[in-house]
Amino acid sequence: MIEILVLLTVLIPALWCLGLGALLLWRPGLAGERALARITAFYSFALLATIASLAWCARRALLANGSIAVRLEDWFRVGDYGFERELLVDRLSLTFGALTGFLFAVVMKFSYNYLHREPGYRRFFMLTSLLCLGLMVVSFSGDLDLLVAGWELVGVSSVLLIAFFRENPQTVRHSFRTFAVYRFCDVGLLCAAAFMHHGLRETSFVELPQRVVVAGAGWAGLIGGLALFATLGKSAQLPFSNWLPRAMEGPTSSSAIYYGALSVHLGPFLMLRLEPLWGASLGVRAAMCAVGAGTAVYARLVGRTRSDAKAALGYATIVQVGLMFCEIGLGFSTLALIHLILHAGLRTWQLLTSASLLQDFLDNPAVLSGTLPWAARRGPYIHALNGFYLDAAWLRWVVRPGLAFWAGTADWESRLGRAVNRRAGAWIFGRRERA
Amino acid sequence: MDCASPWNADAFVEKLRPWLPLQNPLPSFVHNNVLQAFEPQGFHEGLRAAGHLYGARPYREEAFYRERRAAGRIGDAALRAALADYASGESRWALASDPGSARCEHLRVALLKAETESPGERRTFRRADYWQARHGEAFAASIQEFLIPLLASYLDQGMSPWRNPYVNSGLWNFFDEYLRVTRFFGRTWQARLKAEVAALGPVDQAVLREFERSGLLPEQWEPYALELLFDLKGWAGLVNKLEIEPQQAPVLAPACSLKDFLLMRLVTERVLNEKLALKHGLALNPPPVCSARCNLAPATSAALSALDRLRIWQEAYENDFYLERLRTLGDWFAALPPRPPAPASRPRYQLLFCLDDREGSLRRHLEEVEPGAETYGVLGFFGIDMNFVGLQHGRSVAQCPPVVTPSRKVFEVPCAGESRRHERFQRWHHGRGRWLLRSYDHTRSLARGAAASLVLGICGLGALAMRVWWPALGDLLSEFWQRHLRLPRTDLTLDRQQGTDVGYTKSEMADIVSNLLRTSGLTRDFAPVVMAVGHGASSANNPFRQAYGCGACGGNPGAPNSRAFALMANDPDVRDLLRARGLDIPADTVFAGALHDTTTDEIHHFEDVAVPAPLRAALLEAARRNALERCRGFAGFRGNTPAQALRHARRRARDLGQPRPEYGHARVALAIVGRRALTRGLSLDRRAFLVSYDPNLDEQGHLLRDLLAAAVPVCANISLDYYFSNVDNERFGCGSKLPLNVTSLLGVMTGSGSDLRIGLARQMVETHEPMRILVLVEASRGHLQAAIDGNARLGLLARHFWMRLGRIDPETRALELFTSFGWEAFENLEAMGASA
Repeated sequence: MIEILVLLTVLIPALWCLGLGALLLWRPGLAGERALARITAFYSFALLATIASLAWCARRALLANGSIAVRLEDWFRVGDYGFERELLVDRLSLTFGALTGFLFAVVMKFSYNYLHREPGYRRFFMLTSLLCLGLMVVSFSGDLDLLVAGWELVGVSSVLLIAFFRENPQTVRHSFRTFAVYRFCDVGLLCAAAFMHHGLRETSFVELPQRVVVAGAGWAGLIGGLALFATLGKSAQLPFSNWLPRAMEGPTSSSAIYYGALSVHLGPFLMLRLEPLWGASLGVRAAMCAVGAGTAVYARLVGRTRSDAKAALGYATIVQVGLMFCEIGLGFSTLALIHLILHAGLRTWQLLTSASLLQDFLDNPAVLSGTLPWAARRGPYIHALNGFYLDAAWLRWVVRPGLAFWAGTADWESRLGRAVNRRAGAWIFGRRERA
Repeated sequence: MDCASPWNADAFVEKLRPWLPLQNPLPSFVHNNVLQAFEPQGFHEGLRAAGHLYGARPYREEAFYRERRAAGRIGDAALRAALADYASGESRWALASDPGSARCEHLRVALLKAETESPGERRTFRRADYWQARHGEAFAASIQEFLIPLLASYLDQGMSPWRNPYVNSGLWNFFDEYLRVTRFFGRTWQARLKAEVAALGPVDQAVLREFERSGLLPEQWEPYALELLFDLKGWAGLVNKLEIEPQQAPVLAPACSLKDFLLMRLVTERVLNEKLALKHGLALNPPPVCSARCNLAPATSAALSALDRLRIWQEAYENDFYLERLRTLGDWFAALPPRPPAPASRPRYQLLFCLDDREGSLRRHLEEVEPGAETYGVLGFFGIDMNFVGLQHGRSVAQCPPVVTPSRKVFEVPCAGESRRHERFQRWHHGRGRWLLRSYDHTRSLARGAAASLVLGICGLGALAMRVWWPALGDLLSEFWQRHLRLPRTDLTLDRQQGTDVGYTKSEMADIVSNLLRTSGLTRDFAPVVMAVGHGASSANNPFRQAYGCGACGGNPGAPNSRAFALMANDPDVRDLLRARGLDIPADTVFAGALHDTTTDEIHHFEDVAVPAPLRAALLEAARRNALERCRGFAGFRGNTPAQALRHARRRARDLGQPRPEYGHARVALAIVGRRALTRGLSLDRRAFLVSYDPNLDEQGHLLRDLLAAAVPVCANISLDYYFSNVDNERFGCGSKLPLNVTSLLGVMTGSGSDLRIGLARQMVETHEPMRILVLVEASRGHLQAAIDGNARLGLLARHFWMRLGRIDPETRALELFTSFGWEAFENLEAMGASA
């Protein structure tokens, strides 16, 4: 029973996305607004019900063992080596899965009316469905390979939703910036997966501590460090923080679910998931605490100077996610998980109601005329307004040299290619011509 | 530029000011004509000039008109009239004659031939278009991304926890200091800017120097400066607004000046231009006048330019509506009895509503439900020009039309004996306010934020579920609170307090009351209950709440005014004074105030006087029917009874994810100033402002003059605001509501950062039919003409056809229209139609 339910939590979103995608590709006329809203509501409740029944069925086993692994078919098997697929139910996956299901249902309900008559109505529902699928896969995957797939789906849908209003060039620019950060950091995740295969022989999350003992602390530290690097992008930690406030370009409901609630919390989730692996590595712990604390302080200072609602909330989110990194690094994983859930709820609420801020402030007797907040000190204010030159430093020392380097390599590549083509062409075609 | 008169930067900036968008900060939003500065030009000429300045389309796209034509919305007669007007260069609109001329026929053929709009070129001084088109450099975006955070931070009214420390030192000083303190890495254009700005002198000379270095002729400086300012038109307009009217700032206007902003814009433009020129190895100044793609080609076909085509289409589109409405009205007036019958008995109730188009349907339903009720349309501030300080908000709001400067202050104070309840209320209310502010602040900070998210997160999750799935639950809760924590009974400090600007003297009150009653024609046969109904709008999660409110009260709810009016009119001393002035209100007549919520269709009564139960019931039933009429236009409404409609309207207003709590003034196209007898029983489909005015009581025409000067600009502003936001929503309006981002408590940006948006959101105006408003006044020709001549703004609006003016003769009820040939009888049209 549990096996079926676990499978369903991943299969239902997958089938839904396939079905919806096919429908929108071939018969978009069938998916009118009302039909789409109804069927999405049905789907989101079905998904919530599945997760709830899974939690109910698995409660005994979870209390006894802590986790239930469901083996799927191996992808392939060579000799004694098998590429295994696994789903995993434990405290972490159930909590994150339930949070996803709940917030997805809430934000979809919010969006039925919100996106009424919007040209991208169907696109929005398709992309948020992809997010839901990605998150379900990430939550319940039992190995890193499957997790990577979900992780990428979240990234792709996120990038496409930032550019939801695609006639506005700025949204496309900021979407591309996000895409670049995601891809840059995904290198960490892919390397982590590769090294897990190499060092630990498999990427399953089950019995990680035993296999770490076998493989040695070096591997654990390396993989943990790479995973940490991978999370920095998605969770907007230093030095990648500044993409997140810029990503608030889509409809408010999508900004809320991605950058207030779910996508941004994938970093802490991944670190919690891999904690048995890197838990013993003091270096990873220290790095994590340092990054988290640094980010929290950084985003807190920069956020103090932001006077638009979405950027302010964006930085506020980064602050709390930084704190979660600290908590995880210090070993308070349960606290971090609770923090994550509650923070997601709070931020979603704040972002969804951010249009009320004018009324909240001006109907407020506590805001009497003439009282402005505390004036900051002059120098620090301007440095904070500039985001402490993080963007400028990136531009100066990474982006520009990087672009120059790639332009150079591309140049060399084309030259080399031309030379090779000439030679090879002469060698191959020359003869043929003569013949 | 001759040396005798030194160039004066201030005088130069003064010349730029009028052209900028004159929108207030959103918290004090009022409808206005975006193009008010263009009113001295004719409507179409103004549109043409503004279209160039805003880079916007001044009419809808041709496909829109063609679609309407195919659907029969643009009839032959209307099209003929528009063509004849265009051919003759006059404006006789629906009356245009000479339909058969060869030139008209030629034009008609040219117009109806399908032609695709091609983007054209326009001449511009902006370098942005050149760099974008030729070299793919995001010139405009670089400058905007650089300047917008600075402006948002400088003008912030308290949304960021740290205040900008430079707010009192001036915008340019902040910019200067910002560049001085900031470090730039590498040779970016900002680094170059830093060096350049350090070398600039005082602002005035720097502005002149920048113009001289721009390589433009002095006569080109003004259009150049305007184009630069219009790059960030919302922010420029706001800087201008806060400079000339600092009282419009929601909290405290920082020291800012348009001159500073212009200099910032000039110097950034030049430096970036130079930097890019260096990068691409070009001469320092690329040709300053370059062409850019614009929305409309100036001339695409031999017979008609694209703008002219649209102009004809637009006129035809309007003509069709006017023709149809005028014919209907003409028939309706003809069918009315020649003299309104003297009322058989005393009317049971008389209600003074706001002239707002949304109240028209409520009035109709009320008269249907309760035939003994008479309704009047007046300006919803009831003549009381006050700054009102309510118990709840504690800040002073101007409760009068934006053209009026409030003369007095009125406070809401708790009644005697209510002090305990008042204290409890204050404690709770202030506590709640502080809690809201602090929680917003705490949740964004570090340690407090962690604690807050642990504590409030569960509330957030709960609130989400509740507000999204069961908005009605929130209603129940708030009702419970209101019952539990009853508001203290309050009083208004209406009486004059010597030595302060508080309150009115009895004779001023009598003036206010008698003026309103005389203007609206309510001078005898007073009913036992006379009710003044103000209106407001309540909606959740809506930065545009002010735009849905009562335009005559500056976008605020009209409750304080209706209440104050009733209190004034009930005052025995005022009654005595009124009697002395010949306005005898019977002793048994009671005035009452009320508030109609146009979004939820609820009627709120005040506790000052007991409103008879039958009137309450009649109002409730009328509001229900009104809700049903409104809800039939909403896609989300499934029911078909008035009660369901009322529930739906309420749910809509509470729904966080509802960008269309109501449609506001959308579709408004008509204003009728005259006796209610003319329109009673006639459905105007919620499209008409209805103003009560009795020409028989106004022998000199003074009342008419004052009434038109106050009411008609409000109506015209609303219709023009909707017009422009509808025809080019991205440039005259503020685009879709969905990505809007509240900024600095002053306005909204799109997404993570953009120009401050002006105008109305797409979701508010999508159902609007973009037309100039048709104002029909029941008055003699002499009086009406005198009223137009006596008021500059009215004269501009009428003579340059920013609205259409017509007249209903008080005696014969014949219709006359104001054309460029003067007054012409509408009957001519019938004759014309017969001859054609």
